[in-house]
Formats: sequence, C-alpha cells, structure tokens
Amino acid sequence: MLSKAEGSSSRNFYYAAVTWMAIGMSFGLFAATLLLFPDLVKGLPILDYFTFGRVRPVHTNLVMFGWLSGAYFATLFYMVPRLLGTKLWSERLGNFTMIWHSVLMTAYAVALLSGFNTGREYAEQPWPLKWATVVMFGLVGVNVLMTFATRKEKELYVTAWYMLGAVVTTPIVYIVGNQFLMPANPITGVNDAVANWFYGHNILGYWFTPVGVGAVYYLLPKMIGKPIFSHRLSMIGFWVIFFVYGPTGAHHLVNGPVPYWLQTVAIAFSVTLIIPVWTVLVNFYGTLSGKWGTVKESVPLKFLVSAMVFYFITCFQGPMQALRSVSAITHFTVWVVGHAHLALLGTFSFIMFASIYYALPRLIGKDIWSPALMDWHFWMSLIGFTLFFVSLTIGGLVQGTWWAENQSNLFIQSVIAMKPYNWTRLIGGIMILSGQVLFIYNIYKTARAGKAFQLEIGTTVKA
Amino acid sequence: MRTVKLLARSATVAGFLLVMAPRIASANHLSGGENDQMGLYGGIALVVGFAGLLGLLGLVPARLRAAGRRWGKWLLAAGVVILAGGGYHVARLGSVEQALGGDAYGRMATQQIFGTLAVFGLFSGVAYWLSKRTGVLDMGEKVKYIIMDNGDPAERTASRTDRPGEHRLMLIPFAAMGVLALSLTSGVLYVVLHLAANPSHVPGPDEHQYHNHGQMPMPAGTP
Repeated sequence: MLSKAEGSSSRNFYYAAVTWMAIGMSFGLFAATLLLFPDLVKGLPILDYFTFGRVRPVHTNLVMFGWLSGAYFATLFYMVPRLLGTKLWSERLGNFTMIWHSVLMTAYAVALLSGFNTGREYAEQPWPLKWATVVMFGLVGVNVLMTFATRKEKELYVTAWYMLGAVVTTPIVYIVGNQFLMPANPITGVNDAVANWFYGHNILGYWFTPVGVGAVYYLLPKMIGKPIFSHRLSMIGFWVIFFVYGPTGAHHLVNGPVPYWLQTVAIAFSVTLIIPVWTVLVNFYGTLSGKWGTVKESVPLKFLVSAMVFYFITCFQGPMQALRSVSAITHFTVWVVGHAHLALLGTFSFIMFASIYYALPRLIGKDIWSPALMDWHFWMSLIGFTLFFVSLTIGGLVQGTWWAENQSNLFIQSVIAMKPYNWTRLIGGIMILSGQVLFIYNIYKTARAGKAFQLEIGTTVKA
Repeated sequence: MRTVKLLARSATVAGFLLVMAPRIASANHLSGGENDQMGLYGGIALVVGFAGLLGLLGLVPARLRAAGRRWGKWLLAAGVVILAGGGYHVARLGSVEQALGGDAYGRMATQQIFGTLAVFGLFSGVAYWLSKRTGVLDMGEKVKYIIMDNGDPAERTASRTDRPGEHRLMLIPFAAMGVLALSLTSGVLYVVLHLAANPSHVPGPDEHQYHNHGQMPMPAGTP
C-alpha cells in the first residue's frame, strides 16, 4: 500500500477522492430529501442518527475535505513535480497521507453522525479530529515543500505559485479559525463568530481557489497546445488574491453584532476580489482565442469552460451579497447554500473532473474507458447543477422576501412557499449524483479494462 | 514611463485624500445605517479603472492594444475620479447620520480603517520588496513556456486547429455569464424595490417588541 512507485500517491488519492465524493454527495441528496419529507427517519431506531442536523454537516465535511481536498492533494502530487522538473519528494509519505485522509474522513462521518458537533460552520469536527486534520495538511505540506526544495526548474510557473501559496497558508487559516485547536474554546461570543468566518471563507480563498485556479492554468495549455495569454497578468491575480482575501470573512456577519468597521472592511475587500477574477477570466479567454473549436471535442475542456462561467458568477454574486441591503434579504436563506455550491461544485469540482480526466490516463497508462460516459457525466452534471443553483437562488429570494415581509408571523408560509424550489433542488441533486455514478463507473472500468493510453496514433505511454 | 509614474502618484494622493478628507463622512459610513452607494461607486470605479490598467499595460487582445494604450490612462483616471467623487457624494448623503454619530466614534472607526490599511500596506510592501530582491518580478513571459515542454504529454486535442466560424463558440460562455449576471441583479433589485414599495409589510412596533426583547407573553405555567 505504501508504494514508492512514481505517481502512485496521486493515483490513489484520486481513487479515494471519488469514493468520498460518492459518499458525501449521497448524504447531500439525503439531506435534500429530508427537506421535503422531514419525518422520513422518525421512529426508526438506527435512522435516528440520520436527522437533518447530523446529515448536513457530514455532507459538507465529506465533500469539502473528503472529495475536493482529496482530489486537490492528488492534483498537487501530480502537477507540482511536473512543473519543477523533479519527482515527488516522497511517494511513500504521499500514500501514507492518503490512508490518513481516508481514516480521518471515516472518523468525521462517525463523529458527526453520533452528534459530536462543535456547531461552527465547516468546522464541526471535534477537536481531536481538528488536530488530525492539521497533521494531514502538514504531511501534504512537507511533501510539496520538499519537492520545491529539490526542484530542478528554477523559474516558477503560475500554477506552482498558486499551489505553493495554498499549501503554506491553509494550515494557518485552519488553526486560527478552529479555536487554535484547543478543547476549551478560548475565543468566545462574537469573536468566535468572527474567527469562524475568517476560517470559513478563507478556506475557500486560500485553499479551494488557488489550487483550483492553479490547476486551470496547468490544464488549459495542455488541452489546446498553447501557452497562457499572459504570465504577468496571472501573477497580478495571484498576488491580489492572497492580499485581498484575508479580511473578507466578516461579510458573512453583515448586519450582525460585529463592529461596523469590520463589516465595511469585509465588504470593500469582497468587492476588490473582482480584480483577481478578471485576471483569471481574461487569461482564460485570451488563451482560448483561436482554439475554441477544441471545446467541441474535449469533455475536460467543456468542464473547464463551464467552471469559468460559474467562477465568474460566484465572484459576481459574492460581492453583491456582501452589500448590506442585499445581505439583509439573502442572509440565512437558501440563496447562500446555492452560492456555496456554485463555488465548490460548479467551479472547483468541475475543475477537478477535468483534472482527473486529464491526469488519470497519464498516471495509469490507460485511456478513459468510455468517451460517451464522459459526455453523459458532463451534461448530467451541468444540467443538474444549473437546475439546483437556479432553484436555490430564486428560492432564496422568495424565502428572504417572506421573512422580510412577515417576520415570524407567517413563518410556516415561507416553508410552504419553498416546496417547489426544494423539489427542483432534489431533482437537480438526483441528476448530479447520477452523473457522478457514471463518472465513477467510467473510472473503475478505465482502471480495470481501459486501452493503452495513446498520445497520437501509434504512440503509447506506459504508467 | 513618466506618465505611469505620474498616474501612480496621483492615484496615491487621491486615495490618501479620499480617506483623509471626508473623515466624519467615513465615520458615518462606519457607524451604521448607511446606504450601499459607496459599494456601487466602488464597483464601477474598479471595473473602469482595472480596464484602463489592463489597456495601459498592454494586457488586452492584439487588436485592442493600440486603443488600450491610448485610452487606458483616461479610464484609470476616470476610475479614480468616480471613486473620489462617489466618496464625496456618499459623504454628503451621510450628513444626516453625522448628527447622530459623534466625532469621537468617527475618529475611532477611521483609525481602525487606517490600522487595517497599514497592516495590509506593510504586508504588501514587504512582499513586493522581497519579490524584487529575489528577482521573481523580473521573470518575464518566457516562464509561461515551461508548461509546454515539461515532459507531460499534451492532450490529443492540442494539435487541433479551428475551423472557420468556430471562434463564435466563445459567445456561449459569454452569453451564459451575461444572462446569469443580469438575472441575479434584476432578481435582487426586484426584491429590494418590492420591499421598499410595500412599507405596510414592515412589522409594527408590537411585533418588534416580541422579536427583539423576548417579551412575548408566555403560556401559563411556563417557568
């Protein structure tokens, strides 16, 4: 299991990640079902552990840390050595981290289903598991940093910058935002909320965004055979993202009992985030110029183009909902749930699908088993997600309007008004999960029965 | 180069004046109850200014490069003017709140903003200095070619060339972004304006009393 073979840790992490994706998304679908049938688990002994309050954090934690972070670790282990002209520092350590990751995700699920929950968004894990999470990020960090230290390529491509930045900052964000990993919760009250959202939003800004964007900068030239439009622009984006993201977390607390100056700073910096988004989009479209026809023939590229559309919308919607008057309506509604899925599913998961379709054939020396299933995976994910996102966004505005108009006088009416949106959300969720089942089956068949990976006709590559 | 330096200096001075001059207004903006117009001005200024910056740096498609160089500085200047003018306008609007706020609170809030800016300015400055020293900033565009020759084989689609008319495919994601952005904006505007036009729905003082202070009458026997 602790293989030293080149690429083994990346490959194994991809396998683990898609497994956790299936489990995590199933919990999400079950949570969406519970919104329509809240008594589904009532009175059934074993299913007492599967109430909405327990299922929902299992879903968020498994998709964020099990699926996306797992796929990110695999992508780091794949791309960083190739950018630095060297091998991964330790494949054995990488494989050990993969096992650690899977055991930890199992512990997450068991603890959260058993009701051990700290009550903080995206940080629900009990404190011993937080320590284990930091160890996981630390192990990945050591492996990546040592690969940088032993690199042969001295100049750093933009992907390397993004990935290095993510690996260095993420443990800091995690430790600060998780009560410094203390069991006694040294940060309390409003400060606790501020620290929680420092982490809650920055895990997106300093982990999910940089690795995702970095992967796009790697994949795009490989898919269209052309370097990126502007290195300088990509570096402007990199530095702006790392300077600007820090204080944005408090926009989750706008109109709340935190200092107004902090809210204003968070709003201002949130609006400034438009700049790095521009740099990524300008570079993306500039690079694709003259190669748009490739999109017709490449499913991974379709995933990337869709991800860029969703990335733009995420970063358009984010600053908008950070404004006080908008937040007054959308806060606490399902609009925010739609926004979170837009970033983590529509953008970064789509990028990871493209990464897996690109990297796995090179890692195992086999072509993707069924291009038709790839296509199905794309369209079911895209249509399912669009349904899902649109229903949550409109539903959020409807919900917010009910609350603003009626306060709690007619609260139950707002719940009834949400029914059609919850149904659409469920249908979208079923489509998304079905697409992922096809994806996993395709990956399984690729590993078991895929044909030898061919670059051009007659050229094969060995794993 | 002289123009760029001049613009950079002007932008710095304008930014400094913007933060310094409408001090009480800033305080009011921070002391609660303010509107979101500064966000609107800031957003427009960012879009216009950043477009100008891209043009000035020549980071636009080839056919727009000459126009970008010519108009970039003006767009950048327009961005700064919108930001400063917007700040002044919002400051004027905040004059009602000024009476309710108080200078001391305002100064405190302004200092906190300065503190945040100082920390970020320092952080950015140190990073810039380190980058300059290590030569990272001098890595030119040749870095981007590393990816083309790193031993990782490109996709089979990489050698495909566009057929006539295929460039129009770019309109699909552009249209998707436009439609989604427009829908989001109009949806939010509709709800905000709808609520503003229906003040009868705003809860009365009795309702507030229950929600805010927990004074709702409790059933008999409740401890």
